[in-house]
Amino acid sequence: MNEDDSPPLAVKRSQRLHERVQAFAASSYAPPLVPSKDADSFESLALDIARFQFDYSPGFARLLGTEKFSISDIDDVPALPTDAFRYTRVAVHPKELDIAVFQTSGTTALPGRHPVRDLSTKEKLTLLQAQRSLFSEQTRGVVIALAPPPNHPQTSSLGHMMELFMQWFDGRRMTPDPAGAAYDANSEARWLIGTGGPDLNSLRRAAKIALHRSEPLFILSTSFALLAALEELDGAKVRTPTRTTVLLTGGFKGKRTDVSEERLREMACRTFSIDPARIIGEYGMTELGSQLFESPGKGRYVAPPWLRVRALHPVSLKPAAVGEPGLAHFLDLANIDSCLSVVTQDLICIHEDGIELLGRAERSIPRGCSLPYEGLLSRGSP
Amino acid sequence: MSEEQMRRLSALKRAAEEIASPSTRFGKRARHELPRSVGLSPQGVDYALLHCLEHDVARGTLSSLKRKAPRARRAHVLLSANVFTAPFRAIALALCQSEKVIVRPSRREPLMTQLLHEASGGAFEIADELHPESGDHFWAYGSDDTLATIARKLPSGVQFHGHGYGLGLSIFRESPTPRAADIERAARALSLDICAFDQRGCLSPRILLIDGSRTFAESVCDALVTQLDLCEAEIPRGELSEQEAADARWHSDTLRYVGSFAPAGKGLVFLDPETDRIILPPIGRYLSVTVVRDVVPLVRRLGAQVTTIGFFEPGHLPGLLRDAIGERRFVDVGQMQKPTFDGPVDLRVGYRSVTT
Repeated sequence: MNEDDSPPLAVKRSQRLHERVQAFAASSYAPPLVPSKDADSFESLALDIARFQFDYSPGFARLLGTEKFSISDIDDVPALPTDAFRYTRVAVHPKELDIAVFQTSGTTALPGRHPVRDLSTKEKLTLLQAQRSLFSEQTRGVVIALAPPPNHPQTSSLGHMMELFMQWFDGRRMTPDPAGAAYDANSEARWLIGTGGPDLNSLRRAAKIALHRSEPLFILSTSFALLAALEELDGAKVRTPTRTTVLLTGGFKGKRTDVSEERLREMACRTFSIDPARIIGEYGMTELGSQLFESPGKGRYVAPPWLRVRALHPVSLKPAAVGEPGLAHFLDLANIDSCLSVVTQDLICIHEDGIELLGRAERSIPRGCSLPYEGLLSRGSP
Repeated sequence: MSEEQMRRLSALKRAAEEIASPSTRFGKRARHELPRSVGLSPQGVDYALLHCLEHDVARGTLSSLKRKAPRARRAHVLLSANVFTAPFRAIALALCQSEKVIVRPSRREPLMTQLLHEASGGAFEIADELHPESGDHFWAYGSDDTLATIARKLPSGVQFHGHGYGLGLSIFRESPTPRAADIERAARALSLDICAFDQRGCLSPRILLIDGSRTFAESVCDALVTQLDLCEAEIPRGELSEQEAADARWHSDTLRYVGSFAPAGKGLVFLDPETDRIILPPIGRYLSVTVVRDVVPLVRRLGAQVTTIGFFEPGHLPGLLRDAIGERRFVDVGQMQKPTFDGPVDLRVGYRSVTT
């Protein structure tokens, strides 16, 4: 452990890792004809990030349980349960260096928090991945979100991703002819959930602008918000340009159980007159810097090259066999300043052609009559 | 009380005495077969039979319970989620209501009910299905979801008594001059409350609130680690189910990162670095210890889930907490798993019923 090292040294090491991860990500999608002999592999980067976190994060060092860093195989990097993000600060750097703290949504008494010192890697990697998947056929489109306008500083990692896509893949004022007009990142014409629910007029207007520009419309939405919009439309169709795409993320977080995701997708296809392959699922979480996108029309999710996903047996934390369910475990090279290795309560299956999401791990009926384990019960003042 | 009711109650009490004794046929059978089905070690089963099964209840107590219990033509008992000794009290309470008691044992752990049935010479009936009719009383023990489902399915006119999951709390109050020997004794007593049923009971303590300084909390935690280690040698923890083991692994790995915990026997003691935060640990001898600034409002927030509170140096707290959350079992630490035989264990509900 090196707890007394001055922050600048830790920051320098972190910065160097950020540069290496960005270079790795760029080259993983466009590999050079002759690879450099110094080029990083996923394994070498993961081990160096783990070593860095061991040196500067007492929590990670405790999780490892050894005096010295001696891991030589990335499979041996211990996994941190996502609850740790709720109970303590999971960061290598001190609070003063935070430039953002993303927080989990949902109904739990205490949100998970993911402090970030440097957003550049998260942003570059997210854009690289989006260019290869969601926006692969089109460099530009009209991008809107069925979400409330973001707060600043941004506390939602999903909101941050939406904002990034709007700026990068659209970046123009929401008017038919945006030439010369300044881009407004917080425009209510783009963030379509207000206090009164979904703004359907702005949704129709965005579709008209996209038709006018002959560009696809990209609708970024949570499942819950999309359902609210579709229910308010009550079967009415919205005319959209070709290649219109819906990016669908998140479940209903316990708020709605009467509509399946399959049904929601059918409703969206009918309303926007799009092919089912034009609805692309996204799986991300506050605790990760990276995310997965669905392979269009396949129902399987694909991780980018800087994110390794495994299904783990819940007790042994050993990898489950291909096709067997297990807890979703992530080695995320974008988590340089927090925790590289994160395990969740989400169940997944790894298949040859991608990852199947199975939802939250269901609990078996407990023996006895003691309250089932759920972690946080109460905190602070009422 | 009719003579027949008293005869059946006495037979049930004698059955419990037989089962509690390690030297009788039924006592030997219980000790041989129960560890496999209840997930406790043989020593854990023995401890529960000797100290938590209420076999020494006096005849006078049963008579007084009979006077309190609402009379019924028939009483039905559905045992779906309990600690393994609980069927005795559940059946005894039903027998206080009626000569005709029909019990459906827990599918996972039917043995204790079967032993009571055999050893009592059939003081009650065992059935695979219960068919209550209007006017009958129906006692059910299980999760809130299970209870809600059952209540919906019962015919109209049945008196439904639902007893759900619960949580034991312990509160240690720092006295002006805390003595190490007193802390050690209290830690021993709490450790035994924790080890009984490996925390699977609705009276099992899983959270300890410290009404005092962090230094006091640290000394209590040290004493608890020592005592839980000793208990592990005397009454080893049993096998955890896969779900329990998964919860335990998740919790331990989380706390390893958070810090401020110490292994204790096969479980652990976690002293939360945050004040006033309540983290419910998994079962299996895991204890969360929290320093609180003001006990009453915090317990009020947990009140709906709390069944019992075990105190060290209670002062006026029991009275204040009774005012805050209503009737519960307020006892000295060490007595949390030995509730007085005065009616239903869970005083949140007591004898209250709803008419379906």
